[in-house]
Amino acid sequence: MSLDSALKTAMETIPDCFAAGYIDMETGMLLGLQGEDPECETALETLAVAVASLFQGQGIRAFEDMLRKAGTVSDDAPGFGEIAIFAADRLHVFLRTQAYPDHVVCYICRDSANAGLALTKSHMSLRTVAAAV
Amino acid sequence: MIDTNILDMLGDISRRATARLSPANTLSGTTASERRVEILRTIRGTILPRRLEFSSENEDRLVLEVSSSRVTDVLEATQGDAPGFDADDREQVTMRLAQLISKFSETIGPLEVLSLHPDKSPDADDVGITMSEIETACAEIAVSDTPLIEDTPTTAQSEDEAPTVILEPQNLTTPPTSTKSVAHLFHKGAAAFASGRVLVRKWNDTPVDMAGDCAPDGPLYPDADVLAQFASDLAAWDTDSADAISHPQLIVLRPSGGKAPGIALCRDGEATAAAIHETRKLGAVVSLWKSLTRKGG
Repeated sequence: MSLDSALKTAMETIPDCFAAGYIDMETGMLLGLQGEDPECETALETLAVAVASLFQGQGIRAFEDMLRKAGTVSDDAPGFGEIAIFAADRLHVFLRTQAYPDHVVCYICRDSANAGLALTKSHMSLRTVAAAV
Repeated sequence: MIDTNILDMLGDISRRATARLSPANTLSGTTASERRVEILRTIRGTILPRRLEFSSENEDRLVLEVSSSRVTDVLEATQGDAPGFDADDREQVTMRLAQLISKFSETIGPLEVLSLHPDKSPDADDVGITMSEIETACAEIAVSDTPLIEDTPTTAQSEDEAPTVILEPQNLTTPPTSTKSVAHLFHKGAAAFASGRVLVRKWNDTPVDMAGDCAPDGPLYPDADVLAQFASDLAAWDTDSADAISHPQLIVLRPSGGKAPGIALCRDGEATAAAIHETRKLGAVVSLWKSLTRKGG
């Protein structure tokens, strides 16, 4: 299955999802993109550059280290792998793939979506999407 | 939907926008106290090794070597003797540094700052003076609130009557965060489910409140360096994502697997509330966010 097909299939299972992208944080580029309108592409291109500040930022890593030192996280825990952002009328879900830690799958949903279900379905699609790269 | 706050912000930006003919930035403060706050904020916002050159029209200069929000050396100071980072004891260096910063902030006329790559890489043992140390030392030095730029509109207050401001370390910058801001309300509401909470102003990473595990004696207390790095990450995120994601925003960071805690960041452009919570309490996080941002609510 091609990456675009995998993203499209994933979108169909995630409630109120209208855009999906596959991001390489190392380059800040979109490796795959599916969306209902041209605005999606612009938004995903912007987010492809921005999201590394959250996943790979020094401050976020410092927090992860603090959690490890405090014993609330095991030493070998991979750190934050999922980010959900609620803003305006949208829910953005970013999931880091296990196979390629610099790669992130992004789904954009309307805020009418059931957040829990959107996250669960996003998780369930991750392996298939990563395998399509 | 047009957000009037965004229109106001864009209008404000367009009014203040001028073409940059030099890599230097002008400090916007017109009084010594405002400028000192800006100098400290510039130092705090400098994470990578940099040489910060502060200069005035009459060629007064203060050149600092800064890294990880710490001052690691004073390379030039025209208004006094530079402290000896190797020879003097730490307390003396900190006090001398605070005096130089305070003195420079009182310079007449506009001030500029230029951020340059350092001539040499920092040494491994360059610990530097932390922001909290400098702020504490600065708080002991009173500086004037009299305008120092000639063409700035002034009040009728005479110089003799000008108030002297003594700044407390935790209040070196600012109007307090509005108690009705979304971030403030989120910080308050998160007490019900979060194991640790921090409320920080957007443009100054000095915490307004730290509670639970994030309190100063707690296991997840973030020190000034962690907060500075965190502020830097969020500033980069804002810069890069502004076209796609607006404020207010709720950012929930969750672990890749297992039941490790997550962090919820509620941001409204004025402040950021961070709440550390168990993964299973995501529902409570989202419910609180929706209750605060519901239209008409």
